[in-house]
Amino acid sequence: MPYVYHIKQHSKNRLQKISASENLSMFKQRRIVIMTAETLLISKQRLISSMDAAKSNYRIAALTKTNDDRYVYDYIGKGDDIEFEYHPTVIPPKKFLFLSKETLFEFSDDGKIKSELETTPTILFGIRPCDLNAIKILNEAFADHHGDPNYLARLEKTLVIGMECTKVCDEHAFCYRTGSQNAKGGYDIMLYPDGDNFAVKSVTDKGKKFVTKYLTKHTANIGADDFINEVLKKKEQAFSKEKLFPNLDKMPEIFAANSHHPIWEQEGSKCLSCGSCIMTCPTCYCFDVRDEVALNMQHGKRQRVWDGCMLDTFAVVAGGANFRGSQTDRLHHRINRKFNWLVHKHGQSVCVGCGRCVRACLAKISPKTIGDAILADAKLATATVDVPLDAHKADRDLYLPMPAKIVACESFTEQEKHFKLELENGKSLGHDAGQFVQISILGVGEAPISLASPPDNTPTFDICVRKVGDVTNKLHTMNVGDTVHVRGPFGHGFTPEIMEKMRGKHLLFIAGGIGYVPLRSLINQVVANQHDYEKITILYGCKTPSERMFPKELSHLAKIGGKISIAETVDQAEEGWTGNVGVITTLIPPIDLDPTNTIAVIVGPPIMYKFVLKSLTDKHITADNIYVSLERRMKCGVGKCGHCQMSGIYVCQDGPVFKYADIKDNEEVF
Amino acid sequence: MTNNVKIDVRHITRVEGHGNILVDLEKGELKECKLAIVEAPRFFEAMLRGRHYSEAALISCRICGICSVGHQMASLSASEDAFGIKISRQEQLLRTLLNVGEFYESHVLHVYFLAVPDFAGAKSVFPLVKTHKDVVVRALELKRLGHHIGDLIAGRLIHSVSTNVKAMSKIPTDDILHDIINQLESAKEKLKADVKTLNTLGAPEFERETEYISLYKEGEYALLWGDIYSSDTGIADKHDYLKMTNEYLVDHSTAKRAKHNRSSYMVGALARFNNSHKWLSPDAKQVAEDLGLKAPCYNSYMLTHAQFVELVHLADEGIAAAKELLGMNRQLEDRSFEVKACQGVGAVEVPRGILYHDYTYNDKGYMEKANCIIPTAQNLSSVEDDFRALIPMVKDKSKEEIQLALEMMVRAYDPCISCSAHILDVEFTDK
Amino acid sequence: MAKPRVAFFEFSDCEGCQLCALDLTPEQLLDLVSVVDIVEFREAMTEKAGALDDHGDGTDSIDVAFIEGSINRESDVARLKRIRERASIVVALGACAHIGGINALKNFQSEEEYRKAAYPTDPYKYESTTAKAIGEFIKVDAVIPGCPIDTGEFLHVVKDLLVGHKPQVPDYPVCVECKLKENGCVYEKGMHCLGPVTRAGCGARCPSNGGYCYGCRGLISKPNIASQQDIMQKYNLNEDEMLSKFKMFLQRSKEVFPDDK
Ligand code: SF4
Ligand code: SF4
Ligand code: SF4
Ligand code: SF4
Ligand code: SF4
Ligand code: FES
Repeated sequence: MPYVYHIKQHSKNRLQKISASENLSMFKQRRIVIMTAETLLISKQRLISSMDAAKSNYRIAALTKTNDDRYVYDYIGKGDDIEFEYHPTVIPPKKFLFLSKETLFEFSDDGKIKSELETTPTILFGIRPCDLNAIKILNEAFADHHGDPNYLARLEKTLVIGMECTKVCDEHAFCYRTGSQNAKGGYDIMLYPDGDNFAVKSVTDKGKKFVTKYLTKHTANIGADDFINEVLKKKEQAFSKEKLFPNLDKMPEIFAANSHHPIWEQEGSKCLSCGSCIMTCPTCYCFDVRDEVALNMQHGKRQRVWDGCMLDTFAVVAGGANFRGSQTDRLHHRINRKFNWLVHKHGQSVCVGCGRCVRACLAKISPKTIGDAILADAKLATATVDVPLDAHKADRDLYLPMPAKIVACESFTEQEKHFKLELENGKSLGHDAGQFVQISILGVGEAPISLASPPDNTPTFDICVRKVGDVTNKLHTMNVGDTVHVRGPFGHGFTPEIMEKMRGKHLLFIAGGIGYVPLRSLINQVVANQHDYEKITILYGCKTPSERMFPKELSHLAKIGGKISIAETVDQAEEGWTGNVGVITTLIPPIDLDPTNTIAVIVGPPIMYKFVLKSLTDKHITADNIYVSLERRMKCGVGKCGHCQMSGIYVCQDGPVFKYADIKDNEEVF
Repeated sequence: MTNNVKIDVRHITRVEGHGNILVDLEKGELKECKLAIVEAPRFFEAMLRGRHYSEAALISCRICGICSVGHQMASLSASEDAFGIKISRQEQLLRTLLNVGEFYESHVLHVYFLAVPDFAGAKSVFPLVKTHKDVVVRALELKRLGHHIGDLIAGRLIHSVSTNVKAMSKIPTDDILHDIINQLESAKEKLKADVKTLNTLGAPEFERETEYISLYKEGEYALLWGDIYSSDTGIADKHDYLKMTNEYLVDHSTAKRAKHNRSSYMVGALARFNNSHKWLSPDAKQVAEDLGLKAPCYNSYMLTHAQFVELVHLADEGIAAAKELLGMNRQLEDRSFEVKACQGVGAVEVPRGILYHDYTYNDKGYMEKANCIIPTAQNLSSVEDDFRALIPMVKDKSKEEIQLALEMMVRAYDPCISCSAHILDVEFTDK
Repeated sequence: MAKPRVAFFEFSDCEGCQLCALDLTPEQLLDLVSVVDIVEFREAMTEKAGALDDHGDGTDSIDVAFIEGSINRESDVARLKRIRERASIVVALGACAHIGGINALKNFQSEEEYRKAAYPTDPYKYESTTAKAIGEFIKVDAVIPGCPIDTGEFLHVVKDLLVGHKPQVPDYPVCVECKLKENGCVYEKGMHCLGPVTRAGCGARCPSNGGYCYGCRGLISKPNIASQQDIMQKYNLNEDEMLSKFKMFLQRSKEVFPDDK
């Protein structure tokens, strides 16, 4: 697990000490000098020739100057191409670990899938502390909850050689404000420069092996520790004028309290949505996923490309709704990722103050300006719960879908079609009600689809698909015998704990339109076990009668009677409709319920929630007893791509089913 | 044959732009003979007015996709003539390379995609994929080479982005120059392989001696700079271009015709070959000989062959330019100069012949007046004269055959009607 | 499955976009003709799909029509509508068709003015009206922006249509691609760039090659014009110069020129 390597080599005791001191001074400019590491001295010339020697086994990326005088990190031809003096680059070295475009897998027209992971040993040479901190953050993020196979494979093949900064690089950088001028991790070897000499310290096994093989014969280790201390002392002097953000250690709480600070609108209104900031940021890691087919239509690949929350369409769902439609909303989202939502998780500011976004922004919008404005206001609020890091090894199959055959299908309406799928591997999906799968049509793409059947042990499961995008349009043209591809199940559904909590209660299901689909798996499950519940009430509202999902099942449910009751309404009647006409909230007041013994579950279009929640509150049902299932744009399904994120929460991972109490204060939810 | 033939070809295919041919033969007598341009006029001279000198080339290149670089070259040279700027050797070489790219794209498109199907009796290049796959593959590669050079030297070939008044804003690396040299060398090999193809296909017989006008410079196969040269009257200064093209600016009552010394003159590859053949590279001379192309050549159908010879010559010229650049200390040049009210003329050879831009600027560097004279416009009278010489030779053939012979004649000229459209509509009505 | 029938048409333009569509490697061309049937392409072939109509076009139905060029005269409108009727999918090929292109530059002058500038002696000889995009007359199903188009993007759209994707062109600004190319911003070099409001997809072609973006791919769907203007002003452009920048390609964009016809 390479992402914790910088602490792995210490005893448990030492580890606790480090993390204790880390916690105490999470943002202080404290450097953890790891004494077990090897330290050496080497001259610049020797260092260069060692890199030339290493070239036979590694490709080496370093800071270098292009023929048109730009400074970039790039693969170098020879050691002499390395620029030792730091000049800020447009794109950070993250591009070598998290490629701006990479293939997740290749497929052929017979449905075969093939993926390849990186195997070329690579050195990232001379990476500065801000970028090292960023690499540490990415290492953690890509291993969190699900191990991203592509990133982690590449990381494993990569040796990171850091280099200390001895002065602030330019007027735009503000690493010293976010406490990022010293690397908290993300490297195997660190170089401490003083003129044409360097001290070398390796902090991982990988680093030590490299030093032993390529550097030791050129070096002395006498005096290396003193040399390092000298360099660090000089650095401290050079940075001494610069200040940390005020209240740095309470960033999340202060940002949480300042969602309506005027600075957001002031800066947001200038924003061009040009994306320069997110393209250049070393700690942005959102991506989009796209299929590309060859011109001869015989094969293709699924690729991921950098994407980012400042772009207008980032949070647009297939139906067209944009969950962050204004520049201000998007700026708020981006900056809160850096200074609020992900901070506890990574134990440091997620903006490392490299200054790249400031240099790139023509509107001169800077996290520094925003940080200064908001952190000066020490008002506190409870920050969104940060799900703690949960490191995982690379999961080779994370992005590889499994083939599934359509074994039955039926069109309900013009727009909605129901499919029964069977996994070709004969295994059961093993899902909870309320979870979703990612359905792929190779060449077209992937779309998140709610599971419509209750959990069982068979290899078949149901989905119901509304025609809203490319994948779903294509699905509608498919029939029994056709093959699609599936990943999942994903997300947090109606887990056994929730099911347990529901036992003996009056269950109130409120569904709007296609929202009946994700509820159907749960409804069928509880109806089959109705003796476990006090009462089951189903309220269902549609725009028109012809939009009703599973109409046969609905009339069947209506006939069961007993403790099961169902009420329906439509916004607009059509010929032959004899039921209620009106919005769904009109069905709520007449229900006879005991608020202390009722659990409500709501699934529907975004605008429905506000009104239904109000009616339920009128009935005195508390937020603890209400569950909702939310829709967001989803790409990866595993908490990586960032598309589904609302405040600190990933809908694909922490949802789509939420207890209302957990999200009601989350400003990006409704 | 009754000798009553009426031909009305709407939208001649396989030429750039829309043109119609109208021929009316009554009892073997030519009643009407008309090549009409039906492209909508686009008013470039108007669009250029009020624009800054830095945009003149960007706008005027959009007159024509296929002569885009040519319009840029003429535009830059007009502005430079106006402001009194002399470009550096480095800049000359870079423009030469970019121009090689342009001629490759344009000539290859014409020779292989528009004309060869005629000689091969096909209706387009697509069926040739089956019958002459190797030729088609070579053709595509050669055409791509034009785009490739454009990409490397100026960001792209069509409406390139690095060209500027005074100096380019992009400098090629050694790798790029080596790549261009290698590719041009292999292009020459490919061309040589197709000498035979062209010879087997042959060209229809035809002869009409006329006046040939092109740029001319002692010691050089003149394309980007030089004086105007007429095979009838000799050398003239480029500032006298109006005298060389005069007629159709004066006679505007019924038929506008470009004429200088006779009823029409010819510009383009055949005119250049006839006027400057002695400055062709040795390999190009050899290929001309192998193709049976000898100066002076009066067969307009052989224009295609002259273009082919130019491709070989341009490969040599491109290689020489790239080599010279490799030996230089290349760097971005300062692009500032003194802006003043002024007027200037640019005259360059584009694939279809000589092109003139004439600009007048105000003291802030904004365009007051522009005039562009396009080669196809100059050639239209010549096409019509060729029609008249051709019709007696073919009038006993079937209508379809006559039509094809006429269409082929139009195509042989490689007319670029999209550029000519904005300047004149030609009505050749036989009087 | 029958191969889709594809045709190319052009109106007022320079045909640069068709040339770019044809700028294929031999493999690409062979692949392309293996998956589509090119049934009409005046610039490259003599055949037409079906009997000729009075515009010189064929009359058979086609699956995809790529239309290049802007509409510059009344008489072209009927032809455009005929093509629309024949085609299941219409794709605007290039800036001329997509946003009126460079041709719309003349729209800033009065009719008399532009006519006299080009044809001083006989200004009213030819038919000409305001230059407009094809989408102002017919429904357009997809666009391939740019002057000229990018060959890669053209192939993308073809593939999208073949797989049954709605063709997607980026709806974010050129700056995104410019940053990916690691360019320094040209504003720092004294040039003025429309990259922040212009639709990406060209790979930031101009800023990456020593130029600046003049907006040939049209605006993104929600451009922040006010902020773009603030920036240009901050970098020393006066109001006229600023407007002049937008004029090159954006005459038909209501966001910038709301009052123009
Ligand atoms: S937000 Fe800006 S300053 Fe902070 S890490 Fe990202 S690019 Fe650097
Ligand atoms: S770089 Fe600036 S203007 Fe562009 S999206 Fe980011 S904050 Fe907005
Ligand atoms: S968009 Fe540009 S390249 Fe394409 S046809 Fe129009 S002027 Fe020519
Ligand atoms: S040069 Fe243009 S496209 Fe590039 S970042 Fe600057 S404004 Fe954006
Ligand atoms: S940078 Fe701008 S002007 Fe240049 S090709 Fe791209 S969109 Fe067109
Ligand atoms: S993070 Fe990718 S879909 Fe949730």
